[in-house]
Amino acid sequence: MTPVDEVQLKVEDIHISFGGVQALMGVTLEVKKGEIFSLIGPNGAGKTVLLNCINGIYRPQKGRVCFEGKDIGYLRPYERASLGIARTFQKIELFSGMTVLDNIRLGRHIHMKTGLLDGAIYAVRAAREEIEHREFIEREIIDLLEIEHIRDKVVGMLPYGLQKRVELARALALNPKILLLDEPMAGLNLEEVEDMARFILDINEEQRWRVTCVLVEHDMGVVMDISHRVAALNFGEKISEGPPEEVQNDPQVIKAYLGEVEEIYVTRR
Amino acid sequence: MELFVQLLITGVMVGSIYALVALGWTLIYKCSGVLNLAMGELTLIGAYVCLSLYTWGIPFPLALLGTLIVGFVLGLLTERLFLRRLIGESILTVIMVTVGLSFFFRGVVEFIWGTDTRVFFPPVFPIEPIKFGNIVIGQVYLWSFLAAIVLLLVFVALFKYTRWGLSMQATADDEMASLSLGVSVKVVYALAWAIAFMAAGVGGTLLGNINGLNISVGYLGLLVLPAVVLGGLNSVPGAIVGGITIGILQNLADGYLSRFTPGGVKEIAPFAFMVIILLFKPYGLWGWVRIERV
Amino acid sequence: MYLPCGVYHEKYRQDHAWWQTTFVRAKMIFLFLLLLVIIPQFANLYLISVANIVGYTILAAMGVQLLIGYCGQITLGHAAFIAVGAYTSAILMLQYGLPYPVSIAAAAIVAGLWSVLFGLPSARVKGFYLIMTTMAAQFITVDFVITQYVSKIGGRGHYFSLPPGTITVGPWVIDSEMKVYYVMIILVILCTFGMANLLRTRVGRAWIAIRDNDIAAEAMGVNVVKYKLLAFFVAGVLGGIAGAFWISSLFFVSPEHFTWSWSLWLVGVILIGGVGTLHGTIFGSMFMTLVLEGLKFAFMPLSGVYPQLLEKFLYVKEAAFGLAIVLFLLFEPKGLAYRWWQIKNYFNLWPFSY
Repeated sequence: MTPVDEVQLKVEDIHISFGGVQALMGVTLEVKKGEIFSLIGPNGAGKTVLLNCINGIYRPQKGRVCFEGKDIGYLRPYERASLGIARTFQKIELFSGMTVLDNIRLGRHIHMKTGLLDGAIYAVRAAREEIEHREFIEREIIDLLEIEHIRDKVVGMLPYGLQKRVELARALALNPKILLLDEPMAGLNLEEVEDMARFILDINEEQRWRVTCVLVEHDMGVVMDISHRVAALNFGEKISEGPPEEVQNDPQVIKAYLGEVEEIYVTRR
Repeated sequence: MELFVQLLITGVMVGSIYALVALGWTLIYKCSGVLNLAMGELTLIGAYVCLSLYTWGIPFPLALLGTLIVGFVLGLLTERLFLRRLIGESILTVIMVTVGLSFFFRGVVEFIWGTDTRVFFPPVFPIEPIKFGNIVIGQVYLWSFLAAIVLLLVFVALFKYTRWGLSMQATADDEMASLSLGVSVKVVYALAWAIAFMAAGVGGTLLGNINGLNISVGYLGLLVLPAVVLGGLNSVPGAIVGGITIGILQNLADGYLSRFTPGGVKEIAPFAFMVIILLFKPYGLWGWVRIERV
Repeated sequence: MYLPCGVYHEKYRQDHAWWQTTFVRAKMIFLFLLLLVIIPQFANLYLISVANIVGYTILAAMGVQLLIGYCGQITLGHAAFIAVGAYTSAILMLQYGLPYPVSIAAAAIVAGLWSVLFGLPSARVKGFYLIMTTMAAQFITVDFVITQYVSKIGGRGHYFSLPPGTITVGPWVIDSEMKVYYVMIILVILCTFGMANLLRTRVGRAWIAIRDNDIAAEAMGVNVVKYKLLAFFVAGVLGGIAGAFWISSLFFVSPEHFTWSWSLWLVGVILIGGVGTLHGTIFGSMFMTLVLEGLKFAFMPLSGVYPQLLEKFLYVKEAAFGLAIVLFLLFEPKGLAYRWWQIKNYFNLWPFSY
């Protein structure tokens, strides 16, 4: 789907440091509605920290995070989730003691209403709500991500690739407006990577979903293939932004990844 | 004002005993990550062993030495039998094993020595108090304080200047790395437990000399928990400062607050202070703040 | 989920049901019959009183199971909330003459709120620091507030004794072990069902999510602080119910029933039963109570020969309990519930266990 020219997420001049380490130094980004926006950069560039700032797990010391024109900097992570910001994690952070289905059901948390009393009685209202959401999960998510066969398995026992997929399913269950994907392809084999890329495209393009995706990824092939725009970070600063081809050829980016090869040659001569 | 100084001094002296026991606790935690809830019972065992030896007519210094030896052996045994299998288990499991041990030890102590209060007889330290101006200090307190300070110094020196102390520090920092550098982690754990038993035993003996010895001395041993929490779990100076702080707070609360209540302030004051401090400083006064990484 | 072959569901409702096959349904009906009809008919008074102790332990340990097993908040001070429940209920009945069910409800609410008060630090502290604050709850509540203040209400001295006839449900006076047994069965069934229902709906899932991974739970929209406090509330409510029940069996209440050892005992019960399973709570309670009774029987004959042993029984009990916990954790770390599951599985698959 082609992105609409409407800024959905805006990150302005974010600074954050841990002890003496400056993790982010004034990063500014704009993510448009409906696009797949990728963040690349060498290890330790601050990509995950940036996602954590958007998501609310870290509070930046300076700077603003705006979502759909509203400053969300003061909100706690769960409040941001209920605005429609979902995410997956770099190292899988599933609820490993729950089944796949329960993990996805937890993603529906913000859309459910059952409280203590209804839950304890279960009979009428909670039962009805459970069935409604089960239908949604089965029809929209489990079917889309092709995980029917494992829905009653305990997550901790699943192979890595499937866990990644369950994590995506859980994030989708939130019915998000924007999805932050932290290295969804890391550690997957080629086939799984292609599956995952297809899922991301589906989520982004299908009429039903149309979710904006912010993708942090090291697999350049995938990044260049599926993203609409790419930004490159290095040492907490944005060094380049634009369409994939442009960023790919940006000398700054090449320098960040490969080091200053030519200059060394120059001095040697 | 005099009351204040008096309470302060008594607080520091009792606190130094807490610090001694707290040091043993921290040692275990630093080396093996075990959060030990059996510390109270360790003090009990030490105290009763020393008492028994003393009543058999063995002079006090020798009895204390005997306590140390028994503590050392028991520490090694406990570590070998129960705790070595627990490396890498969840926090709840480890804690509950120590809780189980504490039940076990307490049952055994009660079975052997009963629950009546016993005193060191003849008294080890002279009963007449020493006067500094208007401030009165029981000799027991003074001697306990001195003994605690000496032992603290010995432990710190051991930690800092000996080979095994160094290995302990290394193990505390990174178990894997020290294993690969040829440190015998097993020995380090065993040693940590042995030292903790010894520290607790001495602490228990000193506490028993102050007020006589019964099961509630084990409760005093529990007071090291607020002490180490105040100190932040993993800091040796923190444990010492925490122990003394708890001693002072306890005595001040006893002196100033107990007239407003029917009683019981002395026992719960350390815990109440601990909760209040944790509300404002969730990692204790000197603990490491953990940054969540995802 | 293991279904016998030949069971196919066509509706989600069927898949969400507890008892999905006729066999299971029949089994459960038999169990209820056993509990409500057969046991009261045929058991003698001693067995009934043991059953009451088991029931009390189940009610008391359920709250601990919720906090530790389902919400991951380790608590070592649960006896405090049981004490609050017991005292609330006793005072309401003694001072104000309220009927028993009302006092149970009030005890549950008061204990729940008291528990939330001490759950507040959980918003900021985790792990060992939280354990310490729950311990503080124990000492502050039982050794200070209750011993020094609450027990002095009404000037009854150290004990609150409830004269026969104070505990009433409408016209029904609870004054025998058998009646206590019925109260116990009703409360245990209600609490177990309520918990099981909670755990399969939104609130329970949020708790388990916090246990497994609190950061991810928060990122998925769970208000972690709120749900932790809710867990403390429900645990307190269960503790309050347990306490209010227990006075009907004892007819008196004193702070000595709610020591720190009892808190630790409850944690031991769920560890032995199995952390994170409801029926583990029940298994653990049964096991611990029955083992103790068995130990008593083993000691009876010895006491003729060696009379001191009987008075030292308490200490042996303590040591045995401690050793049991340690050995269980070392050799059966998943508890009895896991063993039960294995046995069930074995018979489900028998004779083709592959």
